[in-house]
Amino acid sequence: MGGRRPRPATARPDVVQCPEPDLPFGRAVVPGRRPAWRSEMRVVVDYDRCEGNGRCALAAPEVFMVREDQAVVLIERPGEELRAKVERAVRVCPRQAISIVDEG
Amino acid sequence: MTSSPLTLTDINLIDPDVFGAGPPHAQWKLLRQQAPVFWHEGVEGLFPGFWNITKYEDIVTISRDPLTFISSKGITIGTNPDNPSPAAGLGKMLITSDPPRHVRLRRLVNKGFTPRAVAAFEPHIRRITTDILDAVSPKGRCDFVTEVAAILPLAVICGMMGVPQPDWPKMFELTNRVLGATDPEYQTQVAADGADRPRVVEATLMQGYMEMFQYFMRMLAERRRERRDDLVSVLVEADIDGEKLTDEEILYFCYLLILAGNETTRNAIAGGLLALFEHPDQRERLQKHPELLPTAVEEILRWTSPVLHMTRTATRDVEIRGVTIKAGQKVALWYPSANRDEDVFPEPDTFDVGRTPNDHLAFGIGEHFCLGAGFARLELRVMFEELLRRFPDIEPDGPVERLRSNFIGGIKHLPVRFTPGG
Repeated sequence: MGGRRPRPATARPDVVQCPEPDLPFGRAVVPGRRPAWRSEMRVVVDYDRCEGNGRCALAAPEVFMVREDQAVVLIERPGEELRAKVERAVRVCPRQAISIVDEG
Repeated sequence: MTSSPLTLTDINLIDPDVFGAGPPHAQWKLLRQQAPVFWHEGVEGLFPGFWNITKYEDIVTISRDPLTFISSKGITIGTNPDNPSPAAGLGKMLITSDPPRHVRLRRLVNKGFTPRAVAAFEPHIRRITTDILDAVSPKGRCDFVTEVAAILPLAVICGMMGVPQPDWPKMFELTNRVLGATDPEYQTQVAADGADRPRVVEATLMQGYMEMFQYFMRMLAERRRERRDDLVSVLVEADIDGEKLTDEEILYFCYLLILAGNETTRNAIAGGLLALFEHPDQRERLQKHPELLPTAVEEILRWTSPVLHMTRTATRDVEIRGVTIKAGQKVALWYPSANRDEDVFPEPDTFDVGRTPNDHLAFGIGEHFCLGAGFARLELRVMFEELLRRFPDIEPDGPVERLRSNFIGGIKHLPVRFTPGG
């Protein structure tokens, strides 16, 4: 997407909860408390939505694999160096099943 | 195309004849550049006007918000939400329902479409492909669409649903009527003149729809007497939170599965072969390096994008690129346009069998992401594996004939020849 993809509302340190209408299914980045000096992300898969398409495993093989029709999160809290890949997985998941929870 | 440059006043994304001449990439390109959110008038008395969405990013944004942009008011530009045809099945099918109901309906069948379920079908799909190619091999020529490309997806979806082989030609005919109702080849009446066309289209559509319902009604009764290992039996037994599906819901489900399973992969297979014909360098590359097939399949999907559009209806006023879509207005998501978006795909008009990454939207994205995507990918891969191995010299043997439809980017006929006995 030429680096111009719509970035879902990223966490602002003062925002604890995102208003629901903006995130119909809680996909994408859910803002949580995040200290300004450091960010830590947690990868969450919604198994009600995941259909094991495996696009995440192609986008971020370090973090995801597909086993028995479902995505398996290999690293629940990947380091910042993997953020771009994980965000790509969030974006390409055809079922919008992956989200990143930013935690302090 | 005439030599005078295309302008916004020339935009016509309704007339089936436009699409009969091939996908209107020049129009989509112009819209992407000059008016990515563009209002198109409807046709008085038939269907309302709609917004055309042609940028990748906007299609993704809309698809990811299925409560603001709903499907239950119609998924094609030709659907009139105020007076819908029963053949449009508004609110009654997976594809025309919204969350949360959509999620529950989808869960009834999605186990049959997961990568593992699909992978188990590979030997079956290869056997069907082999049979299809065996049948045309001695002749050395055939209509690639009706004798090859159409048969594989038809056999797969009919097999899954439990439709016996003698009835496959009937299913082929009926799906053509429903999704090709705007094409004279499939119309059941002859239009006296152009003015009479809408009625002929509606009659063809209704005829296909009703015959299909009658067919599945009989099948439903049979499965209730005796269950079998097929999707119709699954639907008969299914319940959502303790409630069984009604007969109407099951019938619409069957109708959707047979239409979607039939008309899309057919056109990706035929369009893929056509793309290889038109790009001999890429064809040679693929034949020399068959390991490129997985990326070639994705590129074929991007290139052909057989589903031309889906529409959504806004449930509230929403702004896209500074344009206000009013509540109740329709947006048409043109997938082939997204798949040639210059902001996403480097050299979008180049057919590149090794293209990576290739996050095309041929299957849509989000809530309504194509349930059968795994089958389509597998059918395409197996078909091209076998086809290029057995008929390496396959070439065109006459002009291609395209479907007159603004919904399905279809190929009706593609005569080919090859060395017999392959």
